[in-house]
Amino acid sequence: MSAIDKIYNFLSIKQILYGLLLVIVLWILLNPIGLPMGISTSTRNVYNYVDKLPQGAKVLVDVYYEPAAATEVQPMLGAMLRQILPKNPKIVFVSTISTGPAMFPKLQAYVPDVFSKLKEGDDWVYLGYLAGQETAVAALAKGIKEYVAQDNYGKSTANMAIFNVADKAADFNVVVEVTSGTDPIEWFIRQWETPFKTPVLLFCLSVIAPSVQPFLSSGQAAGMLTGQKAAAEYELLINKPSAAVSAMDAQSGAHVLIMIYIVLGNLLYWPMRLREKGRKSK
Amino acid sequence: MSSTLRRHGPYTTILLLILFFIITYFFVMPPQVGVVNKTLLNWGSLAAAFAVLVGTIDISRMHVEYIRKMTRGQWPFSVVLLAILVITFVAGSYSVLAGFGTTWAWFAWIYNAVYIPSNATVYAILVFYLASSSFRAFRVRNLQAFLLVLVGFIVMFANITIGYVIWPGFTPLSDWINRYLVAAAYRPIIIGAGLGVIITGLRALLGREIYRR
Repeated sequence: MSAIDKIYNFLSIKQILYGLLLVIVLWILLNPIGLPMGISTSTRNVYNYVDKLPQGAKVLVDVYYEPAAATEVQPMLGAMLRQILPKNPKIVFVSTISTGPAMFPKLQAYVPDVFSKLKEGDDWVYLGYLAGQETAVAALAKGIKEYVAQDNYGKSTANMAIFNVADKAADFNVVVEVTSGTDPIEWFIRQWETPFKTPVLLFCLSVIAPSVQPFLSSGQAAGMLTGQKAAAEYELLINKPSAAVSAMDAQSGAHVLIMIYIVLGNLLYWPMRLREKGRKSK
Repeated sequence: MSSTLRRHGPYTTILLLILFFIITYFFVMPPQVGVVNKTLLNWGSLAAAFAVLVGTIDISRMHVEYIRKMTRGQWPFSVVLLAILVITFVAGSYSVLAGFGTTWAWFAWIYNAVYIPSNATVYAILVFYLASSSFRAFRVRNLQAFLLVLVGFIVMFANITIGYVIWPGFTPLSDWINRYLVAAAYRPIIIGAGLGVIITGLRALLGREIYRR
């Protein structure tokens, strides 16, 4: 067995790679480096879009993510809420996924400064989980108060002041779809953006970014944030670095280790392949 | 019920609903039609909620059967599934009926102490598999593979802070790749899926999707 084979076999031991990954991520999380980062055009566009929203902007936020995705998308939503707070917004939160009601308290705990300054029922409301997927989204567009009789906490929506100004799709300045999947993006584009021209902002996981990109290019989505990097950029733009910024160095460490492994894998692969070819030609 | 009605009743209902929703989506309708549209949407949401209930009953029946037959390698998991299902259902129902919504401490505990850690763990484990498979799969065997690795590296460098330190151009380059190359590659997929939906809808309209025994 040649030295190349020995190195290849050593690197192929999964436990070593897993151990290295774990140690690097933990070490960087405990000792942040604080490297600088560039701001992408798409993040800046979202920031500028939110910045241009009028005073008292009416926003519908779909909390469509599960715990696994919260690390990436919750910081985006938190940063957006912090940016829009000085505009005295009216925010209707809803979930078209059953995990939404479990994630919403986490969001409240993540940005307590936002929720402490807004009054429930007047400035914000959480409708909870609505079954029906696209049907529910279509019904919301035609009148929330009539469609949802009670909010997530069992309070009647009939007398809530927020619905005097933010009830139908046409009333809203923007929909913010915070999602770990692609389905709700299409629901809101089909049921809110196309018929009522309500702009849609997409906050999504980086893995689904490619499938969402065409909606942005076609202008059906007003803006898009994808992944932890975009969340970190947004936090930097609003000058409130938080969870996403602090996790970026750890993400760098993990990515660099994976890239080193890919390069090493190729450096070892080619001599092995040439050797195999040589053997076969003999 | 006559066999004709049993056979054609659901199809006719679906046909009428499809036509109604297509017409009301694309054309401006009188307010009375809007009211009907809203009512039908409410019914749709209710039906979807009932579908969850039907699914729950169905999965319970299946696992009760596994337990009754003591199916080897399955019945202990079925016991766990049913136990969790009953506990969550009872806690959730009490939480809602008592006016807590989903915030009752015991119900929230199920989410916070069981569901959230499990869900996050499964997702977090993926990074280890991803790292290991990258080492084996990302082989530069030909020009296409080289381009794949190259674009992968550019996007990865654009997504990490150290990439900006090495070369600030990674971020705009990745933006360009996403805006043009990725969008160009995905648009046909989305259009193709859309055409598929239209064809399925047309098949339903023309009665080609009728379920026959």
